[in-house]
Amino acid sequence: MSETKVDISGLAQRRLALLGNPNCGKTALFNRLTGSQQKVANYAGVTVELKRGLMKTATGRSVTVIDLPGTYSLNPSSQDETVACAMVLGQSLREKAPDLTAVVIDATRLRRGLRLVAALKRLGVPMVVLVNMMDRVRSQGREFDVARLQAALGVPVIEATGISTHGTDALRQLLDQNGLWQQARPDIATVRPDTGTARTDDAQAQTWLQASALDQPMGDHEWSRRLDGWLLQPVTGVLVLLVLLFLIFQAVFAWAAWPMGLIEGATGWVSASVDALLPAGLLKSLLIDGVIAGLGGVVIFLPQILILFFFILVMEESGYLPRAALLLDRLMGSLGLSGRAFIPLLSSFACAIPGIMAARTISDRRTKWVTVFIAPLMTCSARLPVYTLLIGAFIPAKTVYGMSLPGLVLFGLYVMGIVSAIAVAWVLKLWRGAGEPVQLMMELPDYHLPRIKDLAIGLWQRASIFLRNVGGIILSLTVILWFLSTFPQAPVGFTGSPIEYSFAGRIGQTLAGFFAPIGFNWQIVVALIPGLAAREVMVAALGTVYALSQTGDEVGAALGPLIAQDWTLATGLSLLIWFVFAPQCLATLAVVRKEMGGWAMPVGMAVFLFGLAYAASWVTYRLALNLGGF
Amino acid sequence: MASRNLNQAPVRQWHRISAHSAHHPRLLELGFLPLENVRVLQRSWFKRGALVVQVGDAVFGLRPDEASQIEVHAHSEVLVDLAAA
Amino acid sequence: MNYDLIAVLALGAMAVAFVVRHYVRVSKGKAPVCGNCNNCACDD
Repeated sequence: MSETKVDISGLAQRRLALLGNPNCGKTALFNRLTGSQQKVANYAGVTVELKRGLMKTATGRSVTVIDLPGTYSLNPSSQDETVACAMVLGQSLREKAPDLTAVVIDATRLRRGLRLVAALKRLGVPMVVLVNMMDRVRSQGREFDVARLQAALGVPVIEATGISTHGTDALRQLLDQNGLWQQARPDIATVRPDTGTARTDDAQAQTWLQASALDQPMGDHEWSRRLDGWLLQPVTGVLVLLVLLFLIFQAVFAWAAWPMGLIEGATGWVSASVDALLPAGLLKSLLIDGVIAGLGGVVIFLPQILILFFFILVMEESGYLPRAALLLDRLMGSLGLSGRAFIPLLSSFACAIPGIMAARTISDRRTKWVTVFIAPLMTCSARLPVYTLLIGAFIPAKTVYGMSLPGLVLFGLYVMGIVSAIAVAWVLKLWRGAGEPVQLMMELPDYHLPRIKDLAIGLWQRASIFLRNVGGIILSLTVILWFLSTFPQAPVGFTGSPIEYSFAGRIGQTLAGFFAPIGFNWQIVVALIPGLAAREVMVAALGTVYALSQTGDEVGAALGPLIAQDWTLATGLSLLIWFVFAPQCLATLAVVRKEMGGWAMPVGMAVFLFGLAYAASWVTYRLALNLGGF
Repeated sequence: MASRNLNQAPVRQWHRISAHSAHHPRLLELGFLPLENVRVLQRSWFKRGALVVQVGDAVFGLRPDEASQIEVHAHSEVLVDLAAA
Repeated sequence: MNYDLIAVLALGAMAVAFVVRHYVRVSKGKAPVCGNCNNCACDD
């Protein structure tokens, strides 16, 4: 009989909070401690919900780790900072206070980090200090006596770096000291942060720095200054940004060709295999025309999505993103929008929803309203499969002055999104009047070379989210659409393709009249409906509808060539423009309703965007017809 | 010693934040503390475009109306100290 | 028995169940609303 030791002292789960300035590498530490894969970049301060994970100390005891939003001080000035501060001080109603707080400070910005430490010390919050980014200090051969700093602060200090586990290992060992966990927490009632404390905390920080012989500037910021000389200069900065974006879109088409060919081949092979294995019938049709045609149509765009996001990730990880936001802010600032609202636009997780939620930090109602209203126009990575499908089908793969035409068009579409957002914001400003200008106050962290590992993790996350969507909601909606497109089954002798007899076909044909002036045929109309759930679904839906429309024997024909044959160029362009303005997915509308309260705004937005899309498509279609005689 | 606000400061010239500057508390938190060294690195060509400002060794983008809250004194002696930084 | 029809109906039912369950969970705040990022609109 073996005896198992039961550790009863660890039964009440210990809670460690991670607090620190923005951009101090806190989230990367969190990932390393808990083994999770949280996204590292957090510029707009969108995360108001707290991230939690589980870590093991050196002896294997479990500790709950809570990653708090980055905050500069305990005097909160935005919603996420309020959450962080309240939680640490034990004032949060939603979260129990942590037993211990790990304050993460950037070794190259000691004074600022120590101000936060000073505030916490003043309030009596039990803590340990992690000095992060030590590699950047050591690489310059600077002296950093951690023990001395620890003696000055009177709390445990650990050095850490993003590129090794040395710091997190030391933390795991440190957390086994029971004494740390038994410190008294501050008395909630008596604690009230106030704004006069910034100077006191700074004085304390400077005292500590002098006591530890650390009051010389750490870290080399010279390169960043030099780069900014070019990258933020009004003219060269904007030029660089435009060229960068332009090159990215070129790469999206140039580099994706080979992997897309592979995926297409694989899809065709699967299709043919199923075709050979199964007898003709409903199941076969569901699998080939529904699942494979639908999903295959979407999955094929994964390479392009990943290429685009690779570059955007590089921009995020290198520190360039806030610079891009600043350049855009100069353009948009006069409209009362904050440059920080652009960061979701430029983010690898481009989706209107973070942009809408980032508007929580805006206190002025009118400005917040405008920001939310135009967010969908600027940002939606789900459009990318639709764009690339249509561009691939209708834009010849020529080079114009050495630039790939498809890449040029894609670039143009993104620019059109931004320009339309600016135009709408401007009109709204004229109509509703300008709100109060939004705070910018955006830090520009040092540039640094992104690590391959971080890029790989980011891409992997993106790919898995995409594939999860595909295997989940897109697959389900495709199956449902297949049903609607197959039943009721056409009687024998029915002229025309069987799908026209089905529910979906009839709905499409009924609505087609309304969309005829903008060049949409009934298949497009049918596909638009599930596209409301998620834009990528539109591509899958088209795949299914066209697969079912095939009266011939080809199996697994790719969607692109099919629509290129069936539609006119004018229709293709019209649909392309439709998607620049089209009403956003239901998810976005739901978030708008939640954030702004009430249905008026989401419904108003949907109607407005629908009208705008229709008008733009109409103009495009008419122009294309008249100019080209297509 | 001329007193002006940060928005009026000539580019690349170091200044010191005056002891009684009454700017937004958040700016204090970011590091724009009294007697701290500060300079404008870049201006925008738009009248309301954001400036790039260095305070200590950190860099921020500030709107003109945010920068104009910060009262500063030009300090040519400061140049010598900070050339080493 | 038309196994074909049964198989297809079963798959269809699963698809409907998935969609319904997804949107119910979203309305209760238990699943990310858009699935396009992993740190907003989710109370997990």
